Amino acid sequence: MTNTKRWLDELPLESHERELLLVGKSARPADGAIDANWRALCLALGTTAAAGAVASSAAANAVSASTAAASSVSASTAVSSSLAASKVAGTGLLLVVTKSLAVGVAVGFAVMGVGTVAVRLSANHQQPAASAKPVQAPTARQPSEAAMPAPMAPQADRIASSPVSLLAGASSSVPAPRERASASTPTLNPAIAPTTATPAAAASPEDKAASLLQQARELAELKRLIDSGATTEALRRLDKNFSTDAVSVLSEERDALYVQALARAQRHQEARSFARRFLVRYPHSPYFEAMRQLLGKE
Amino acid sequence: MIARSSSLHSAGCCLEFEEIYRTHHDFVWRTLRRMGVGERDAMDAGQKVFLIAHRRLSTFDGRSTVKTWLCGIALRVASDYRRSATSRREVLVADTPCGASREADQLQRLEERERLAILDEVLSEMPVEQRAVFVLFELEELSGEEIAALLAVPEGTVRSRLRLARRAFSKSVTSRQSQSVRLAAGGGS
Repeated sequence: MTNTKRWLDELPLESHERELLLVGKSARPADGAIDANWRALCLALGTTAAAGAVASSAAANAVSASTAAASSVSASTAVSSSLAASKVAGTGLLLVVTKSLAVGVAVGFAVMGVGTVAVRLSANHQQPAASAKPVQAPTARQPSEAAMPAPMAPQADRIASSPVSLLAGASSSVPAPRERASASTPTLNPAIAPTTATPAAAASPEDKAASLLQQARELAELKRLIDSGATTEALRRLDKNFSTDAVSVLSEERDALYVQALARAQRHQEARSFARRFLVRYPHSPYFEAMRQLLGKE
Repeated sequence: MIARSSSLHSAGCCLEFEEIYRTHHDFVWRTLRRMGVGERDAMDAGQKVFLIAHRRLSTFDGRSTVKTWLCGIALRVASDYRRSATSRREVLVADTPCGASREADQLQRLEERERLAILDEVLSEMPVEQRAVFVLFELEELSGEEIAALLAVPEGTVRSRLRLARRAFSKSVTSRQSQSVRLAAGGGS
């Protein structure tokens, strides 16, 4: 075998076989596929795998805050308190993503503090697995931009007009708080254990509230970019966000925005693939149906 | 990459895994595509390959290169894909070039896609054993020894499969060219 030459070296220059071999050797996936695939892998691997040390630090903050807050709630009332807190915090979180970014919301953030957010995260972890919606494999293909539901991530317009309805809708039949990305979120593949974040020094509640507010502002700006058609810039910023802030309370909104941006950029295969991961990772998401619609209309 | 393999033993080396991913992504994608995974499913199949690789990273013993290790996973994923696609009665060959060519410079890409579609059709006519050897040797430039180890067959078998694959490839290409000539001459009804 060692003396076997590559066929390409022996074929005549003008041969059709050579032409086909050359195109086969130089074939590449679509532009941006490598990054989009990596993003999807991040989701499937529990996010932290892809984000490295920065992600670990962010996850550690979320986990430690969640633990601290959960411990302050008595066992008998933990679930109900957490659910109530989650609605309040969720409302604040989603409101802050609206275009106005009102000062009152910021104050609300400060008052509520990250503690309530953390309690919400804690409640999410207590959510029984049985309540998860089954994920159906898509049957059709090629989503069109038109198939993409209206504004995904912060859903600013809908939230602005009816800030509570989205949350109410999510919990009307089953009081299921939205599942959030965290270091302990189950992975797509149960055989793969997510990387466990190591505890890091906890930031102050004020710092965390400020960080959340900043993230919410960034998401609102990203949504504005996508709505205006500047999808390339939006995707660039989202990619940067993934690498520097992989685990966040607002990961769900960010991930939904990413799918929307991909769809708007006509990168349908990537949008579809990412949407599938989204459904697995966020089975209680308010964007769940929107994602399913995207896949269903392919 | 081979030199780094020993350090891969410690699972959870995220940065190294990302390096592996970025280094070999295109290779994995091409292998999947040429081994029959449809264009629309290649992305998901590629993710599956790397998910498996991530899970098995701690068991990678460095006896092969990372590339051939990934290739082995990709071949199995492609095999599973072909089986499931067959059960779904899907057609696995020749992705139709999509209609994304709105810009002038897309014409060349369209031609490339057409050639790729022909390449996939030709490859799909080969027995899968010959196809694997042909793809890995001629397109991905793995050595005969690597292919033999990967497929767990003697090198002589690799050599004979390659010979048969080349013959089948040429025959198929010639047949298509003749058909094209007949069609161009108006006699291809």
